[in-house]
Amino acid sequence: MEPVPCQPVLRGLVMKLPFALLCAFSLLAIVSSPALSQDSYLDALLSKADRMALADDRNWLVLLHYVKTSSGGYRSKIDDPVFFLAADGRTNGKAELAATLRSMFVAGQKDGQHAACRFPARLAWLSEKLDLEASRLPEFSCSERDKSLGQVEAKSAVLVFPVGHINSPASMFGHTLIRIDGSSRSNLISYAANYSADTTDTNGFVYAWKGMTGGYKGFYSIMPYYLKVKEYNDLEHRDMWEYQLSLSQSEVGKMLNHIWELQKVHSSYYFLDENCSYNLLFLIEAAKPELRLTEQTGVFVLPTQTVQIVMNSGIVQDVHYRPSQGTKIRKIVSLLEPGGQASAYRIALAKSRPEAVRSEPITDRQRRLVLDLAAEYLQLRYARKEMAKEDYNRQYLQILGERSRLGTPAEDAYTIEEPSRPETGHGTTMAGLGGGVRRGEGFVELELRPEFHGLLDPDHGYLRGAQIKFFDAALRYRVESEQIQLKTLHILDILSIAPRDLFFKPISWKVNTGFDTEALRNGKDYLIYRLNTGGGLSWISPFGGLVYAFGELDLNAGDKIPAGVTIGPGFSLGELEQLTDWWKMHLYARGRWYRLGDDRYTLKASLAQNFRVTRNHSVNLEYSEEFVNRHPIAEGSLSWNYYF
Amino acid sequence: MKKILMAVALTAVMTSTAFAAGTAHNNTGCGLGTMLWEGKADNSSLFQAFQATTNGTSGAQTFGITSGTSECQQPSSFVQNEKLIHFVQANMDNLAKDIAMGKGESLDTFAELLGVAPAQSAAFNAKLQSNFGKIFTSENIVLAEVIDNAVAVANN
Repeated sequence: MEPVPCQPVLRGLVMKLPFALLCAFSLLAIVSSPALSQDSYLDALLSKADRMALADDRNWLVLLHYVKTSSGGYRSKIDDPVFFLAADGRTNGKAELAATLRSMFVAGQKDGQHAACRFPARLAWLSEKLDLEASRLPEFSCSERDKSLGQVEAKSAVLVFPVGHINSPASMFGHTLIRIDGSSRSNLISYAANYSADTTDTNGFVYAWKGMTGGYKGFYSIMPYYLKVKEYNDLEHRDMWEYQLSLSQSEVGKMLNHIWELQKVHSSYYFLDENCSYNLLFLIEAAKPELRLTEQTGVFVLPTQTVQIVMNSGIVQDVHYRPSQGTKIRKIVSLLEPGGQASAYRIALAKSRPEAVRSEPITDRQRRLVLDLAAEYLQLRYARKEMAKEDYNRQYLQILGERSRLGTPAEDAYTIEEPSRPETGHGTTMAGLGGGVRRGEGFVELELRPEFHGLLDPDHGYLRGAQIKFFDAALRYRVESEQIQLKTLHILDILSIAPRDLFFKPISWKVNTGFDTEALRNGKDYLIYRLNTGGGLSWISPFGGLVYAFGELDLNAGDKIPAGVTIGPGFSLGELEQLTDWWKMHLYARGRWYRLGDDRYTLKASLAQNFRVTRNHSVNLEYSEEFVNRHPIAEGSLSWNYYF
Repeated sequence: MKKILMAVALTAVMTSTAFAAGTAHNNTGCGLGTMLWEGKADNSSLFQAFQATTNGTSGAQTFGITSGTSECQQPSSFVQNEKLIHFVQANMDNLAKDIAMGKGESLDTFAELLGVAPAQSAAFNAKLQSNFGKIFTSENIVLAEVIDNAVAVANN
C-alpha cells in the first residue's frame, strides 16, 4: 500500500487515508494484468451484493439521496439523469448498484473517464462491503480528481450558519454550508461546500414564486471559504456561526468523495423544504450514514432547524462566532464618543483628511478607533456603490497609511461579545393557549403558528426587531355568546424594524396579508380580508431598545364593508424594550382612516409584554384600547406560548 | 526572516498544482476595490429590500477546488503559488486593512501562505505595518506588486 506513484500527482502533499486508498487502487491496477476471469469475478460480486442486500443498506440510500415514497419504495431527491448509471437508477437502488459495479469493470478508458473518477464514494463503500480486490479492477487513472481532492486535504468538517438578513426576504432564515478544513492554520483558505439555487433573477417576487414551485435548479458547489466569508460577513453583514463537527478524518474523506460525485448534478430547488439546509444534511450523512439526519426534518426545513438536528445528533464539538463587518462597525461605534464617531464619518466622506487626527486632543487609542472606523465605513460606502473605485482606492490607502503609523495595541480593542447562539432560540413552531376579556365579554383563544418568530417572542437566537410569521392562525371562543370565531389567519406577516444611526440608514418595512376579525363602522366585529404594507424609520431608544414610526396602506375586503372593499392610509408609532433578559415590552399606537368605499377610522393604543419562562415557554400579557368611529373597545388577554 | 521566506518560496512552487478549468472568481480586477459581489451589500433603499440576495446563488455550479490561472500579472518571487495569488486577489482590501492595523485574519493567512513560522508572525506583522507605504505604493497597485513588495519588506 505504498502510495509512491501518486506522489508526482500530489507533489508532496500529505496523503489522506481515503485518498490513499483510491490511489492504491490505481497503483494496484497498474501492476496487475487484467484478470481473464474478470467477468466471473464481477458476477460473484453482484451475487454477493444481492445476498447481502446492499441496495437496502443505509449508506447506499444516502449516497443516492434516496428517500421513502408514500408507496413504500424509494426515490432519489436528485433528478439529474447523469447522476445515475442505470436507466431506472432514480428509483431502483438495486439496478443502480449493479450498474455501478459493472461500470467499475469497464476497461481501457482514458484518464478521468473511468466510473471511479466520477463516483469515488460509491467505489470506496462497495469495496469495503464486498472486500473487492482492487487488483482485479481494470487499469484506470483519475488525475483531475486526485489533484482536486488532494488539494482540499480533508481533515475535519465544520457546519457553518450565516444568520438571516431580514432586509432581504430571500435570505431571512439564514443559510447553511459545510467547511472542510485541511492542515492550514487559517480556515479562510479551507473549502466551503454549498448547495444553492442557480438563479440570476434579482426581482424578489419572481425569485420567491420560482423558489416555492421548484422553478430553479439546485447545485452543489465547492469554493475557497474566504469567498463565502466575504459574501456573508463583509457584503451582506450577516454574522456567521461555525459548528465544529466531531467527524473523523476518514469520515470527512467520505464526505468529500461524495461532494465530488455531486458536481454539476442538478436537482429541483424548493425554498421551503428541499433547500440548501436539507440537501446539506446528505453530506453529513455521507460521512456518517447512521445519523439519519434527513429523516428528522419536517414539512418545512429551516436552516436553524437543521442546526438543531445536527446539535441533537451529538456531533457538534465546538461553536465559533464570526461577527460580520456590520457588527464590527457597531462595536467600534459603541467605543467612541459622538465626537470621535463624527470625525470618522467626516474622514470617510472625504470632508477631512486622515492626518487631521494627529492634531485632535484625543488619545492614540481613540485615534486608532477613529481611523479603523473610517476605513470600515469607507469599505461599506464603496460596497453600496456610493463612490467611484478611484476615489475609494485613494482614500482607503490614505486612511490606512495614517493608521499604520499608530501601531497595534497589546490588548484586542474590539472583542465582540458572542450573542445568544442560534440553537438557544425557541422552536420555530408555536402553539398558544390563553384567554381574556373584550368589551367585557370573556373569551378563550387558541393560536397556532407553524413558522417562525414574532416581534414579541423572546429574541434569544433570533434577530432583534424582525418578525416572520407564516400561517399564523387563532380561534376564539366567546364565552357568553357561545360562539367560535376565526380571529386571525395570516398567510404571511413580515416586519423588519432596523435601527438607523450615523453609519447605517436602513428603511424598516412590513407586509402582511390574511384574515382578521375586526370592529367595523358600527363597532361590531366581522371577518375581513386584509393586505397591509408600509415603510418606516427606526432608531435605538435611550434605553437601548427600538423606537419606530411607520406609514402604511391598509386594504380591507369583506361583505360588511359598504363598497365591499376599502383602502386607507395609516401610521404606527412604537417602542420595543428588552427590560431584562426575560422581560420584553412593546408599546404602540396606531391609526387608520378608510374614506374610500367605507367611512371609518380606528385609533388603537396597546401595551404588550412577554415573559420568557424557559427556552420553549413564554407568557404574553396584553392590554389595548381602541376607538372605531367613537365606539370604544378595550381588550386584555393573557396567554401561554409553547414553542417546538 | 529572509531565510524563512526563501525556503517558503521553494515549497510554494513544489506544492502548487496544475489547475483545472472552472474558476470560482467572477472578479476581473487585480487591484484594490475589486468586489466580488458588487451591489449585494446591505443597502438602504426600500427597493433593494425586495431584491433577492444570494444565499450563495453566485457561481452555484462552481466546483472551484483548483483555483485556475489568475488573469493578473504574476509576482516574481512566488510564480506558482496560485493559492497565495488567488487569496491576495480576492482579499487585497482586507489584507491592506490588516497590515495597517498590524493584525487580523487576512494577515495571518497571508503570512501562513508565505510560510512565515508562527513564532515569527508578530515580527512579520510589525515589519509590514511600519512599512505600509512601501507595500501599498499607489492606489493603482496590483496584486503582484503587493506580494513582491511585502516579501521585499519582510526580507529587508
